[in-house]
Amino acid sequence: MLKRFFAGIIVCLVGLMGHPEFVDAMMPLEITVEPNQILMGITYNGLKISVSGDIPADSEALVRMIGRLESPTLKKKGRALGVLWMNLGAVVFHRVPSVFLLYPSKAITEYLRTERERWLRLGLGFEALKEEAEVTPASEDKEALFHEFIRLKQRAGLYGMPEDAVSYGKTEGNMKSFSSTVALPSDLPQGDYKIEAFAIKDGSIVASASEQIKAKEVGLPAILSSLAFDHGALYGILAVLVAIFAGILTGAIFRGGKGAH
Amino acid sequence: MWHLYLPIAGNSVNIIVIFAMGGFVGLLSGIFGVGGGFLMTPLLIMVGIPPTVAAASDSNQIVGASTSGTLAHYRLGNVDFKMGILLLIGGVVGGTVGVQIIKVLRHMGNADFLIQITYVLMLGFVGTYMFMESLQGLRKTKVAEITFKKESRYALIVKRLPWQTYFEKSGVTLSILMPLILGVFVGILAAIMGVGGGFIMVPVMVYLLRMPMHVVVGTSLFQILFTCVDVTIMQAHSNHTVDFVLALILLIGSTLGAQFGAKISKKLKGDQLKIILASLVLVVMVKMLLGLLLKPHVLLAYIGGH
Repeated sequence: MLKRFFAGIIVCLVGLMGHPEFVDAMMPLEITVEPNQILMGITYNGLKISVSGDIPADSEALVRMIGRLESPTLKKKGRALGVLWMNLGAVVFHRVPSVFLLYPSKAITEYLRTERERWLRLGLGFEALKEEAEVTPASEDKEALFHEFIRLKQRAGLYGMPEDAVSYGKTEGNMKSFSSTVALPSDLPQGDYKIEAFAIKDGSIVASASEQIKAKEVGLPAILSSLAFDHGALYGILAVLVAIFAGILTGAIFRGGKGAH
Repeated sequence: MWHLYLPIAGNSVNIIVIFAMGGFVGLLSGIFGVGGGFLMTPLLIMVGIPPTVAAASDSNQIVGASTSGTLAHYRLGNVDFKMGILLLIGGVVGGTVGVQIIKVLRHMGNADFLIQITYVLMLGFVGTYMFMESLQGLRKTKVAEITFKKESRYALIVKRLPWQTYFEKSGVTLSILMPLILGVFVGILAAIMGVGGGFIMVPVMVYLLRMPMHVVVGTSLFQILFTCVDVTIMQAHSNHTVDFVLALILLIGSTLGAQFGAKISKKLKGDQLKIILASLVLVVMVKMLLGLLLKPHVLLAYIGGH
């Protein structure tokens, strides 16, 4: 057991040393995530999650939320017969997160424009996702398709990177407080998510922290979901009966109204 | 504050918007006897409902709306049950055949292309024909039209078919093979296009079965009711795509709309009804055609959309 523990540490250290951005020892970081779970009740309409903490005063903060990895199959639109836009076959995106939201500070927003090379080496943005992901069939143009994939996800609010999204509070000693608001869309899938905060200085991550957060349905949505997914036929019959009843009821109300006049 | 989270759709919606959409489509449904699926599904997709959930929940909603509509038309004496049941039997057979055709097409890899082309051509053909015909109807005298129809070769063939019966409510004498065969035809098309088929069934009843427009509307609603009961249970059982809460809000809107629609329908003349429905069908056709011709915003889409 102890042997395996030390072996693990050595592997980690070697791994970190091999990575140019992690030469400095990483500082642990404390973050507060509020609320710390995502309850999707009947009134759920997206949620704002506040992420705050303290980072070294001379560094910049970036907050990130990532969903679980999945491999969605999507229809690809293209031109048929040279004029008609329609679905032309399917493509699979392997190992892409369901949600990917980035909240960089103003300085980092600038940085990722002016120092593109170093930003890419940090491996925190969409570009890193593209490296990790795979698109099949392999004959497809991965570059162009991935660009479209990000746009599709952005339209649903599941991927995004608002600019200048971190605000700083007071500086105490060599630390300063930061806070950012993660805006969850109303179509967020249920599941486990990871919220991370990074302190970045001179193109390197100097400190980081991560918290797990769970999104789950509660109350009526949870009951309906379990009925619909576990007892599909019964749910369908009930749905039909209620619909017929509502139809008859409205019909009766209308006839009653007509008779009274 | 008017938002409601829908677990099956996996998104939250504004109750007022959904209610208004239901009312609008219900009104059209009551006036023309179409299920309105060809209008409702795109509207639902626009407010963020996944395409598969939009189509299935709409079927559930149509069950309620067409119950209400059928009742209203039944009281006005507008439902030909005999004709409706024959069309229904044909429709079920056709639907089953259509689903198999789609499976083969999907296997061959060009299903989407054929579905969309079928859609545009059918809408274009039906819309244009109805529009032209009712425009003529509004201009010419009725007597001349009837004489013309009776002399057509189609009418002569129809008369020679066996098992001729009198359909009292519609006031026509036809072979029972006619509604059965046409039901199969509409069922196949509806299954391929993934719609209830109301907008094809209505012109079929008007032009090929020669039923009076008011009876067509009531009978079509009666038949749609059964088709949608079947589709709702099937979708809930095998695909889990029926969002009952969404359907219920749509339904409250659409049953109210359908009641008003049935009353408006009675006040309008047959040709006026036909020309408005034809315009509606043509507008949807143009919208679909533009969708095919203009470059989409995003070149990827989730599975299940049109």
